[in-house]
Amino acid sequence: MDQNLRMLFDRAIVDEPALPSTDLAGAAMAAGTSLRRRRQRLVTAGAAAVAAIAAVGVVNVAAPPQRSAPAPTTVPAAFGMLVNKVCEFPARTTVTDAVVFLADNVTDQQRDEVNRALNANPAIRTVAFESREEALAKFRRMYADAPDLVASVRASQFPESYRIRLVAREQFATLKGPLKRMPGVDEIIGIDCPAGTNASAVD
Amino acid sequence: MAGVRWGAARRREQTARQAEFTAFVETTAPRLRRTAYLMCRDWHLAQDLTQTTFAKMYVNWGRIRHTTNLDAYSRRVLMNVVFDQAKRRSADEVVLAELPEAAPRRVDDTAELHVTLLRALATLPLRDQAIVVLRHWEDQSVEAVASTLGVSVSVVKTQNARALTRLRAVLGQDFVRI
Repeated sequence: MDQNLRMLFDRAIVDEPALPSTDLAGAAMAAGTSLRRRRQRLVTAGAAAVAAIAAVGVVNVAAPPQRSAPAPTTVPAAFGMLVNKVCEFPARTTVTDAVVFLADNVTDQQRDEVNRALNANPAIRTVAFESREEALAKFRRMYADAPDLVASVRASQFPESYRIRLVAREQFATLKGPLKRMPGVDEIIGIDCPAGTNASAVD
Repeated sequence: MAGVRWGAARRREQTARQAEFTAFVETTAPRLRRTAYLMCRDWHLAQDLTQTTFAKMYVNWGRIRHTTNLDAYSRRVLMNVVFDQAKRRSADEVVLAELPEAAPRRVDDTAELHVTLLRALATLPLRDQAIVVLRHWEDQSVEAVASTLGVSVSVVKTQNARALTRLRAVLGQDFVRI
């Protein structure tokens, strides 16, 4: 019976016209690109972030060991891409996850204090520390197909961070201010992930 | 210097991506368009639906291009596009379909016959049409159809059986004659 149906289908398409000779892929790319403009904000943020990474690369190559110099404020934003691509970053409306970027010159004590504060906060469900090396490893996975880019970055260029997941979407606004004022914290950026996805899953 | 190198890497990556996408479109377009045609019975519309499917896929190409089953993904996107289109059309258009209730007169030439199959298919709810097309035209497993349409395996099984019964009734002898 299936065989019959299959034959009926085959016959149903006998009058199939030839595919138009226009550039299907090109047209789809153009249309897709304009669809993508709706996400312009995100894309722009990403591009700026990439530019920031490249700029940091230049600075570090030119003047390597100046550890004491404060990192440019835009740097943590640059590593926003170490976030699952299905998530919105930075989040525009509601927030499910957030990244707490630590300052370049954070002390051990400050890091511990932030960790304690995060763990004690009832609005936060989980806390995970991400070291510079882990950030670099993630970056390598995400940009595996751009070896030149990967070769030009080093672990020291990535900030340390805490990756946190919130209990509820509404709590970010009240949580952000006090945390950001803690010594050793550089920036906090909210992420909005669809249900069932993990902000840290980058590949 | 790193910036320059990075720019070159990015351009190369983008070119590779576009080449990949172009190859994907070329190999997939005929199949998708046929499936779209069986769902909408209009080659022009099928072409548009296919085009929309590709555009939607291009939006997420960077993310999906390494997924293991791009074909399955493309089927899912296409069916969503088909459903959206049907919903929009039913909102601003009144279709007076002439539904064949009983087996039509004996038909010999294939042109008549294919109209009959597609018209029979058109009597089914849209989701059931999708089940029949995916299952018996695209040769997808029950599980694959279920995941493409976002319904349970048992829904696919029961609706498929029901749809075939209905098709058999509408097509009458033609269904088994071949």
